Amino acid sequence: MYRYDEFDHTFVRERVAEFRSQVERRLSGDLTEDQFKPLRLMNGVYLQLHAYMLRVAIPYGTLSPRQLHALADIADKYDKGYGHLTTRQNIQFNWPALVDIPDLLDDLANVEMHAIQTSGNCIRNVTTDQYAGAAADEIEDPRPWCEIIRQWSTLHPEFSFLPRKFKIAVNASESDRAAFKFHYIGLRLQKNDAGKTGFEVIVGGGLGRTPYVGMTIREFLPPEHLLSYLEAVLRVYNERGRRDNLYKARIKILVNAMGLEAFREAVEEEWLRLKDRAIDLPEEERARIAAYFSPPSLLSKSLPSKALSEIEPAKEEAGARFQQWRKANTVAHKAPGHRIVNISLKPVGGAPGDVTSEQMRLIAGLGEDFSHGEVRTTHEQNFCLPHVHESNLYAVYTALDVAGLATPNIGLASDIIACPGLDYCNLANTRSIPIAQRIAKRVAARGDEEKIGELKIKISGCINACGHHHVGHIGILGVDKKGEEFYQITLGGSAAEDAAIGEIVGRGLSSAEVVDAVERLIDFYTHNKTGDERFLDAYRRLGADAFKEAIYANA
Amino acid sequence: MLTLKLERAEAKPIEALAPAIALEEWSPDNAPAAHAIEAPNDLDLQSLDPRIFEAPAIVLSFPTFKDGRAFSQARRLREDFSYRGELVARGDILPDQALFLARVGFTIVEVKDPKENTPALFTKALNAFSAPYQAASDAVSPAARRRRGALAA
Repeated sequence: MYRYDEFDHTFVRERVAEFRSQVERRLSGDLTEDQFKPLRLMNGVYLQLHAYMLRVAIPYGTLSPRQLHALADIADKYDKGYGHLTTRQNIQFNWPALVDIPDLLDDLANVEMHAIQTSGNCIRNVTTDQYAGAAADEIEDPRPWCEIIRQWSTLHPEFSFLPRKFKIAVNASESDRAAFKFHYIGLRLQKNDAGKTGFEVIVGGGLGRTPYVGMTIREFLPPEHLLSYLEAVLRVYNERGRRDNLYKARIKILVNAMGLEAFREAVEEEWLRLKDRAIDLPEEERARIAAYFSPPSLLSKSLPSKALSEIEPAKEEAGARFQQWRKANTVAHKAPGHRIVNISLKPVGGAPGDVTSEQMRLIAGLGEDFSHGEVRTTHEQNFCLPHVHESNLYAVYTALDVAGLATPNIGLASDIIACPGLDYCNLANTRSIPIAQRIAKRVAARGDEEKIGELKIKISGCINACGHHHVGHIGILGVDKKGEEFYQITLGGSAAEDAAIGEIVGRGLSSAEVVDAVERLIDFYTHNKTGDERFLDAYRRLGADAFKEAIYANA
Repeated sequence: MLTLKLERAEAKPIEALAPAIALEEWSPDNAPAAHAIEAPNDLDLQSLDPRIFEAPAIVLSFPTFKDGRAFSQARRLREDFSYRGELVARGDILPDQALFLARVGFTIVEVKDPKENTPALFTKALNAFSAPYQAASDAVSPAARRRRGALAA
């Protein structure tokens, strides 16, 4: 993974020093809250319902064990002993005091981390596939490009006061695990007919109040021109994006107002002017950054002493649970003999994405011992160990299980994305976490989660859609009706390669009704599916009306 | 009101500028070389009579400090039109934006409330970072060039 050189170290230290003096000016009253707000946001500091919240950047979801240990220490020192993984591969701390945040940022800088641009109307942390560098279906590791974008976008002098926030994702596989079609710019690494690698560039995707699937603005961009092309898109957006209405300020609205063709023409015209102006990196700098991401030499790690067959647990029941976990939570690695291990932060009854400092330390240790020093965060609010040898799986499973981190539910009904909702957020209309908890409990009580198969449930506590409800197979949106919490169900969304925005079905449901409705949807699906058909495919085959009837038949 | 000249490492108070003329009052006959011209931040620079770029100063506007359109206009003036005169930032500006302003080509800032936003704060912001990651309209070497220098040394 990327390591800071002297330049990066100096830069991050200087950023902390700058923010320290801004905090002092705020505390002494020299800065008003209105003036301080954009400054703190660009350093990841939000003011939430109860306290300040700090969002720490985990660039493209890659962490070293040392960094994860530092996050655990920060959780203990400045928070209440836990952190919360976000849907953009970052981690949030909900309870730091403003006066302590500069020290916290210094602690982060010690381990080559920061909170720069995790919020604010600027270019946010770039995200990617959590299986990068390990996925069997990958063209190449997308992370060098993510790091190149991170460096280019950091304190960009032209693009730090945009009409609205700006999110970029990079994907490099046939499968889409980065939801890149729902980003403001989505980049897909691909090979053209001549065998050359380049980017398909997608613009104008996004969730929020007005969801859009992004559209292809360029089929093939030579990768050496990535940064100049991004500048062209950002410049057109910065100059023409709406600033009169917060809800119409994102690039998706501009692209749709101009029309894709007119937007493309404006970008291409801009790019012709920009492409030869030394915005793009020289090849040697690209190669320098890429070298940090060379794949681990998987065979050099000494193999464990015992083969899997020898340590197979004595008890049959434990063996069956291990096999269930292996099937649900691990996936094929590109190197034979290895698996990618997902670590579920969705225990039945837990808050999705919450992780304690003790759990962080355990995961860091497993990353050190069994995953070649790499840990990843996922946009579905879980962790991942990208490079685990088959023969170490049982040891990893056992350690995770003891810590409550082996719930076998990755991609299943209880692996729910949920925003913090009214429990923390000052934008929320309703609670999200308790709904997620109750659905997970209901599913667990049925005992057929494995049989139900892939089912993505996503819950947002307000129309801003941080819980990605638009792209849930089952999406749940919380709305406030005269002071009462109601939940609107959407069906048929997908954030994967078959990207789709869910359709709203029927009237809103009370918090009691919504859990029953989800169960009825599951029942309807299990009774009507054919063969291995997924929920989403059954929905697409049978149509919205059939599923709608299932929800409201007895409600 | 205070007028500051942005140097590489210092924001120095200077005399207030002569009043600028609004764009719509400009014509090729009213001596472009003598007047500063004020342009709104939604102006399409492409549409202008190129003689405007002979003006000694162009004033760009920040209706609020969150409205960053003039950052793009400034870069365009410097890079697309090779404008060499003074670029003036006028409006609602925070000292914390000084480095961004300097990097896209602004040379002068008008400060509305100099008691709170002192020249010292502007100077501090100009010096907050030893070097930037990316190239812009200033002559400062970005990270890649510095790293290449370090590799060669």
